[in-house]
Order: sequence, then C-alpha cells, then structure tokens
Amino acid sequence: MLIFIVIFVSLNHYRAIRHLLVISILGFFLQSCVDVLPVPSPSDDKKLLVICEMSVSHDIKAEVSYTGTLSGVKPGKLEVPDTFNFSIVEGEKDFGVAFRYNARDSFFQIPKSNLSLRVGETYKFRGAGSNPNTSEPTLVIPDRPNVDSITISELTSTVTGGKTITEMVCSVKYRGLTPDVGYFHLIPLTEKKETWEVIAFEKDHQAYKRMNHKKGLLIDGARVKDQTIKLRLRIATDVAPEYLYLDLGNATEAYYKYNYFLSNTYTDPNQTSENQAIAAFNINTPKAYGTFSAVNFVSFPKKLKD
Amino acid sequence: MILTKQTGLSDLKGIIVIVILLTAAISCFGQTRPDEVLIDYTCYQKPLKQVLKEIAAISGANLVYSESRIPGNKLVTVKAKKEKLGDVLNVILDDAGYSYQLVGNQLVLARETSKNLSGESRIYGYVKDKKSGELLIGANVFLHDRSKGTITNESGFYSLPLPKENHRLHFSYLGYKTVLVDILALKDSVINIGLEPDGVLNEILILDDVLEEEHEETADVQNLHIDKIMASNHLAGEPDVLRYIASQPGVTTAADGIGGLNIRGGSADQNLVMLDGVPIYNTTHAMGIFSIFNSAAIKSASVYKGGIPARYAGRLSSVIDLHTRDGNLNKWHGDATLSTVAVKVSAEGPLISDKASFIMSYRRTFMDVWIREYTKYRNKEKKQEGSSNYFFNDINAKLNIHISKSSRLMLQMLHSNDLFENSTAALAGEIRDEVDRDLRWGNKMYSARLNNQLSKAAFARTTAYLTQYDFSSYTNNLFEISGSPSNTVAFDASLFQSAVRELGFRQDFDFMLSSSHTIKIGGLYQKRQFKPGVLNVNEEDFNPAISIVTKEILKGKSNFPTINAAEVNLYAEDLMKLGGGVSINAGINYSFQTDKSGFGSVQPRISLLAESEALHFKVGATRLQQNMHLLSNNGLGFPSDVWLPASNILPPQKSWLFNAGFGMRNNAGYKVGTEVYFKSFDQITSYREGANQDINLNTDWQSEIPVGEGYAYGLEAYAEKSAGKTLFNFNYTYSVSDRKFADLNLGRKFPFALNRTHSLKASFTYRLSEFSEFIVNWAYLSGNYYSQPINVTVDLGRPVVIFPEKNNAKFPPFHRLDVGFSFYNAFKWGRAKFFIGVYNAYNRNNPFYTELVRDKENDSRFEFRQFSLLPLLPTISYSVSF
Repeated sequence: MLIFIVIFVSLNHYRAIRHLLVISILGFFLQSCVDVLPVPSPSDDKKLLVICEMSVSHDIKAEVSYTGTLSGVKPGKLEVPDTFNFSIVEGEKDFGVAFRYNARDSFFQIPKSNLSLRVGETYKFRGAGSNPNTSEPTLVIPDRPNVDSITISELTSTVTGGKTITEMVCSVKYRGLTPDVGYFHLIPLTEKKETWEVIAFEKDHQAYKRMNHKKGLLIDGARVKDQTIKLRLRIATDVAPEYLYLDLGNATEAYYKYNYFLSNTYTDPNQTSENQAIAAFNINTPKAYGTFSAVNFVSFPKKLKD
Repeated sequence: MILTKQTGLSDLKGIIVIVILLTAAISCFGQTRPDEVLIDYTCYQKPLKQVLKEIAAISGANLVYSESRIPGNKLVTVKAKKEKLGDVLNVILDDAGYSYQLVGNQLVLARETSKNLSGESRIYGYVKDKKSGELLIGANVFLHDRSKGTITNESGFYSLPLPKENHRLHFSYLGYKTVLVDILALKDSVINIGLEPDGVLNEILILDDVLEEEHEETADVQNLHIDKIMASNHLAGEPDVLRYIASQPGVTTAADGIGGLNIRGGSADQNLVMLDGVPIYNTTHAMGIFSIFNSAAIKSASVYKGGIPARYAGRLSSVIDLHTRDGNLNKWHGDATLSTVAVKVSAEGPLISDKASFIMSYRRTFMDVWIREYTKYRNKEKKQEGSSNYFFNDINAKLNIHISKSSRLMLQMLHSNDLFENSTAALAGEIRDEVDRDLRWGNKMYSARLNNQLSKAAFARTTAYLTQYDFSSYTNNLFEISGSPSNTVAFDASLFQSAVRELGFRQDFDFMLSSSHTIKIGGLYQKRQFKPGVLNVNEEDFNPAISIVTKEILKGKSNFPTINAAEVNLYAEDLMKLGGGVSINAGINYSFQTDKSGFGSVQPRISLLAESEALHFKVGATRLQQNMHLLSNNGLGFPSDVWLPASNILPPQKSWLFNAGFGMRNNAGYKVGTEVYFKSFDQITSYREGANQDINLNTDWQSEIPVGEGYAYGLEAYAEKSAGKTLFNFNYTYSVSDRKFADLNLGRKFPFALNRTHSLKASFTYRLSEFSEFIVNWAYLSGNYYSQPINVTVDLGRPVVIFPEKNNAKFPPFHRLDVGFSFYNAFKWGRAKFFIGVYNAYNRNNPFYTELVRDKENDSRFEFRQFSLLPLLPTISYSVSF
C-alpha cells in the first residue's frame, strides 16, 4: 500500500495515467460480485404436475403435465398419456374410478355419470406416487353454502361514454358448515353472466383475495366477522343489469391455497421478485407435485330493484 | 559523652535531662503527625465502624471514639490515593456530623456541636467544555462519598439538593479532567463548571481510571463515546456513527450496512432515530453503506435496546438518540477531510463571543466526477451504450443563541440527497434492448428549539420541527424492433414514490425534585402526510399504443394517494433512586391519533437497576406502539420501501420488549456482561407474495397488504477493555426472530430474513505512540435467510419457478476483517490525521442479495444468483483540524 502511495504521488505529471489508476482502483468496488447459487434437488428428472380441481355436479378433470427444470428443460405435455393410471377412490373402497385421457382437450377426465361426487364423502386421488400413505391426498366434498340473505344498498347508476356504470354495496349473510371455518369462491355476475368488479371490501379485508386467473374472489371464512361478506361492486354495461347472480362456492383448503398461490404467481410469472409466491401443493411425492381439491357452487339470484 | 568522677552528681543529672529532652525533641521533629500520614484507601458503601478500623490499621493511627455513639452503620464510600489521613477523616466523618481532634498521639473523634443546621439547600448549574463552551450531556455530578449524585440533562443542566453542611463535589465526564469543588451548602447556589478536555492528540482517550467517568442507567442503553466512533475503522475513510452502532451486540444489518439497522430481531423501520429530538425517516446514503450523519458534528449518541423510557415513543424496537454539537462559543475552528469517496468540511465558531455560535458541516461524494466515464467505458467493452452515475451530499447547520443566562435558542437544518441514474442500451441490428433507471431520495429537516431553565430545579425544552423524506424511482425496460412495416415495442415501466412529511411540536419538562426523584413529563403532536405510490405498466396498458414512455408520462397516469394522519403522545416518567444502589424508572406513555378512534394506546414502561461499585443488574419491560408501517419489498431496506400510516385496514404495530442483564467492571476499564431479551410484535405488515403491488387511488391496495405477527429472543454477551493503551471489545449475540402471516408462506411461521442466528464481533485498538494507532475489526455473522427454489418449473401460462417455502435457506456466513492505521501530527495551527487501511482485508465475497434470472434466449432456463457488494477496499483519508 505504501509503495502504491509513493508511486501515485510521484506520478504528478502523468495525469492520464493517474486518471486511469483512480478509475481502475476505485472501480474495484463498483463491481458487485456475482456467484451462481446451487439449487438443491434430489434429481434432475422432471416430475408430473397434477392439477385436479373437482366441482360438484360436473365432470372431474385432471390436468397432468411434465414439470421442467431450472437448467432449461421445458415443462411439457405428457408424451404417452395412456400409460399413466390415475383414479379417484371414493370412501374406503379398494378400487377407484379411473381417469380416461381426453386427447382432444389434453386432460384426464371422469364423466359425472361415472362418478357423482357426494357431499360429505371422502375422496382420494390415486396415482401420483408409489406410497399410498404419503401420496394419496384426500378431501371431503363440502356442502353447499347456505345464504341467509343478500342485501343491496347504495345502488347508483350513471351513464359515461355510452356505458352505464352501476355501483352498489352488497352484503351477504351466509351460514357455513361450521361457524368459523370455511373457504369460499365468490363470483358476482349479472343475468347475462357478465362479471362485476369488486372495488372494495368493507370488512375484514385480510379475508379476501382477488384473483387474476379466475373470476371472482377467494374468501377465508375464518376471518370474516359475523359471517357477513360486504362488498362494493361496479360494472360498466350497455344496459343496466337487473340482477345480481351471486355464485358462491364452498371450497376445500387446498382449493383456496392453490388458487391463492396461482393468483400471486400470475402477477409475476417470472417469479423473480423478492417476495416469491410460495407454492401450495398438497400433492408432493417423489413422482409428482400438484393439487387435489374441490368446490361446491350454488347460485343466488338477487333482483337489484324491487 | 564521657562521664567522670570529677563532674559530680548534679552535673550528671543535668546532662541526663538534656539528653532526654534532646531525644524527645528530635523524635518530635522527626515524627509525622498522625493525621498527616498519607494513605491509599478505597471502599464502596461500607459501614463507618469498619472503615474506621481499616483506616486505623492502614495508617497505624490511634483513633479514639465511642462505638456506641458514633453512627457505625452509616454507609461510606471513599476513594483516596496518597491522601492525608486527616483529609480522609474529614470527608468520611463530615456526613456523620463528626470531626476529629489531635490529642497527643491520638485522633479523637467527636460530634460536631458547632453545626446545628437542618434542611437542604440546592446546588445547580451547567457543566460545559471549558474551551469550546459546549454543554455536556450526561456529565456526572456526585458527592465524594457517592451517597448522592445526578447527571446533567440534554441541555447540560443539573440540580442537586444537599444537606446544609460541607461537601466535596466531583464533576466528571469521559474525556475530561475531573473537577473537585468543596462547598458549604448553606443556601441555594449556582455552580457552573467548565471541564477541561484531556490533552490528547489521538482520538482514543487513554484512561487510567474509568470508575468516575461511567455511570449505569436503568434503561438497557449504550452511550457511545464519540472518540471511539471517530477512531473506528472507516469504510472509505468515513467514520460513521450508524456503522459503529452496527458493531454493538444485538445489532445487525444486511451485508455491509445495507438497509439500516436490525436491533434485536426488529426491522429497520422500527428504530426511532432522532437528531436533537427530531425523528429522521431514512438515515442512509448509498442504500445503507453510509449514514447521513456527519460524525464530526455529533456530540453524543445513545442506543436504547430495552427498558425504553416513557419519553420515547413512536417506534417498535429501539431508540437511537443523537445530539449534535452547538458550535464553539469562544474560538473559530474548522475541519476538512478528503477520503476515497467523499470530501467533507466543517466550520464552527462564535458569532458573539460566549453568547452565540454556529456549526456547519458539508459532505459531498466525488464519485460522480468519474463514475459516468468509467461506466461508459465498461459498457463499450460489453458493446453497449449508456452510463451510470451516483451522487450524494449532506449538509448540517446549527445556530446556537444564548438569549439569557437561563434561555437558549437553537435553529437547525439537515439536508441529504442521493441520486442514482443508469441508462444502458444494447443494440443488435434492428433490436434495441434498453434499461433506464432514475432513483433519487433525500431528507430535509428544520427545527427550532428553546431551552429554558424555569427554576433551580426545573427545566423546559420546546421544539418545533419539520422533517421530511422523499423517494422517487423510475425504471423502464424497453425492447424495440425497428423496421418496416411497423416497429414492435414492448416495455415494462414502473414508478415508485414514497414520501413522508411530518410537522411536530414537542414540549418537555424536567423536574429534579430531589436526588432521589427526577420527574419528566411532556407531550408531542405530530402531523404527518404520506404519499405512497407504486405503478407498474407495460405496453398493453396504453390505448392508443405508445412507443416511448417517460417518467412524466407515468406521472400523468399515476393517481397516487395522499394520506394525512396526526398523532399525540403524552408521557410521564419518574426516575427514583431508592438507595443502596437501586434505581427504578417508571413511566407511562399514552398515544392516540386525532383523526381515528380506537388507536389510543397506554404504554407502560418500567426498568430497574441495582448496582454496586463493580456489579450491576438491570431488568426492564416496555410496551410500544408504532402508528405507521414501512412496506419493504425485500427486507433490505432499500429507499424504495414505502411508508404508510396506520389505518382501519392496516392497524398500528404493537410490541412488548423484556430485557434482563448483568455486568461487572473494574477500575482498570475491564467490563464483562450478559443480557437476555424477548420481543413480541403484533400487526406488522409485509408486501404480499408475488407482489408487483400497485398503490394508487384506483385500487383497493391497502386490503392486499398482509398483516401478521412476530417474535424475537436472544442472548448477548460482551467483554471489553476501555482504558489504557490497548482497547478491545468482543461481543457475541445469539438471536432468533420469526414472523407469521396468514397470507404468507401458507400461514406457516418463517424466519425474519435479516436475522443472524450467531453474531460475533471483535475490535482491537492499540496506541502505538502518541502519534499513531493501530485498529483491527473482525466480524462473523450467520448468513441471512432467503427463499430458495426447487429445481422445478411448471407451466402456468409461461414457465414458473417453484418456491416451496419462504426463507428456507441461509446465505453462507458473513465475515470480514478490517485493518487500519491512524497517524497524527500537531502543528501550530492545528492537527492533521492520516488514516490508511483496508476494508475486507481478505476479500471475502459476502452475499447480500439473491436474484432469479431468466435466460433471455431460453425462457425455461434460470439462474439463481447471489450478489456480493464490497470486495477488498483500500481506504484512505486525510483530515486537518484548525
């Protein structure tokens, strides 16, 4: 260091060289050092991604694909889907109802005629792993939500730019399966199946989650006080709607968490932000990741003006 | 002497008498009086009867007194080095109402009948630096026997009631020569003391004895000595008070000071940083590498980590209380420093001698002079266009006016600015890939304070201030393909804004009722305006489409909210000295928001100290509330963090702090100790996951912000030598800090990202000579936490990387060695100091940040990268003071 100082001082007349020295020395600390961190993984093999969201009174669909890896293997479709065996087991039965692959739409399917989901019954997803104890997620089909009342207030209608803007406050008093626990998926629609925009939640805001990939809201019933959902809704239509059709679904915890995760991911699909979305998979085996969940919807119509 | 028969018997008798008398005379003249024997004796709170026995044994004197009458159980404290026995007896007997008389060879102790005085009188006044007139905060004022004492308040004022009799008073302060004053306190008296600084050239004080200079407080507080801050190993030649605080136990940062201080598991926004009583919102330049405070202007610095007194409120975790110097009232002085990254000048002096002074300091980096050229050159090497630039400066000025003997007015201002610009473009044929960034942030603070001595025992401080922090950031990633038939333009642009403006009015009263009760009461009104804003857009958000986006265009599209809030704090605290070395500080702080109900909060505070000469034990419990939040995107405390007021949707943060500690020290300056703490946090906030979160009036953004809780606990241990030519400090901290949010990490608990499980810091300073010092610092900290992905991508529209858990991995440990030498030189006109050293001497790549980077050519390929910031850095600075 001392030698450097001596040399530096003696280079009085060599301004250019001194300039260069200053740049190269002080530039030292401008360079941040970058290292590539290893990402641990049991193997570099791709896995299956299984997304099975069941809806009561509908066919059961399971989307199964291959995951990719960080090193550049792209996620992709199953090459030979017929070789995979997936099934849904009802209750304590030994055998389940097998999925069939729908080649046209690229998903696995069980028609509702083959398996009609029953409220209160337990169902298992089989085929995502080798060890049944650890790789068969189970769920209980939730009951339909019971809505005691829907109250409309502060209904306004204005015309702007050729569109009718309708805004209102909507209070939904419901009864869940148990007083404090339950997850919901709420979709406010008009009679023409147009979706109302949820402008604000007026109570228990941490209970609500707007989704980016699906219509409507996710609601954590445990955080809703007095079992009353209060929303401010707005819609711009050609003609003012006459009805609010409230599609309210009682959902399993896995449904809520996976869609919550999906919605967070959707806003930043790169997942490069510092607050990464934490994956919500209840299928996590050496063979597969994914989600197995269920929702039970009911639609409640409400006339806006009596 | 020859006796013969011829002399006769009578002659013999005479001769014998003469001999005897001569012998007696010789022995009398040659013998020291018993009360003039010099003795060395020290005791602390010992019974008088035992003290008398020990003193008699040491001195060999014959002390005569009635054991049944003398107050033998009265506790005595005395420290004598080569003092006359008589003087020592005067001091220890004085309080007992006794004195001694020399009777022959004996010292007879008897009650003083001449003193029939009852009641108390009060001595009061100011303690200041004799040369500069600077008032000294926390100077010690105590009786020789240490039975009573006090310290000066923030205005250098003290007030001490004493019995009406003789006293010997000690006035002392670290770095100054102790002054002893003998008084007969028959009536209330003003005693203003000027302490003379120890004449040292170096910044490190060589103390032979620290017993008098240091005192313990009930709070878990560290009072930091300015000499050590100035002498600490400097990054780029800049001594920095916040970097020094980061070397204390229980205090961590992200790598290299980035992001502010995390104290006992709390986050950076939870520290109340005050400059002369005014809160400062963002205290750093260069993302935390330097603080905005010019260390040369700092007079005192205290860090409260627990047992926080009731007069402090508004933040959740700690208090950093900084006071600046007032300026030399007697002489003009100046300083200039040139270091590797900045130039700094300061000047101070009397405007009217002994009545008005000013102090001003200015610092500016000169990196902007060459950084633009350097980055342009580097970009050309990478076949890119464009350059970067970085600049910071700060100015601190204070005017100090003694309106009268009892009133003082201070006017103060602080400005700090940072600017970072970056524009880089890569051209490949018709394809243009451009990144533009413009980040600027800064603080402005103006204050007026009136200190008023209301009476002999009462003091008032009135403060009015404006403090504001502004941050704005514009970034644009543009991708353009030019050529016929039309251009293709894609861009991702964002505009961040975070501004807080606070108008405050504060009134404080100190009542020094007695030596065992000091009461402080006061109130603070704070009116705040917040301007948060986050806007993210891309080309699809503009109809009709645009091909050029600028900061002004985004500002036009933004609809950022302005949120007002007002808060009132009222407090009362009583510092009680119960005797026997036991003190308690008990208080209450009550805060409420004037525009919102339901945010009222009663915050009890209590702390206890039990101490002897060599030992202390303290324990404290503190309740705190913080009526604002700082949304931190990554926990790194970047200036892009957004300040928000508490609201019905985002309620105030609350915490409980508990602390207990034990310590030992001796006269030679050795100290060891340990402390444990526990904290709980409620209603804290965070960005939501996957967040590119918009904050504007068009969205219900507040409802998207997760609210959760947390806790932290830990153990700190330290060993220190703070006197002599060799100084060292070792401290170790074990810390756990976790958070839990229903909306984050699937509701599971996760570690606070910036917590360091183990932290070991060591500093060593050796005075080579009067003109040089050698300094070594070494720190080892466990790695921060980060979220690590698994080796899986899934198709959710486009490949997405999977993170199974939040903060599930740790960086490698951080460790760094800094070495430096300081050389001093004295001249007729002043002093010069040359510092040379190495920061990060073994060039450790300490990690501070991770980023997941997608390969542009294969969007399924990712790299998970770790960034390190400061490699081996030579540090040089040259300062002159005159």
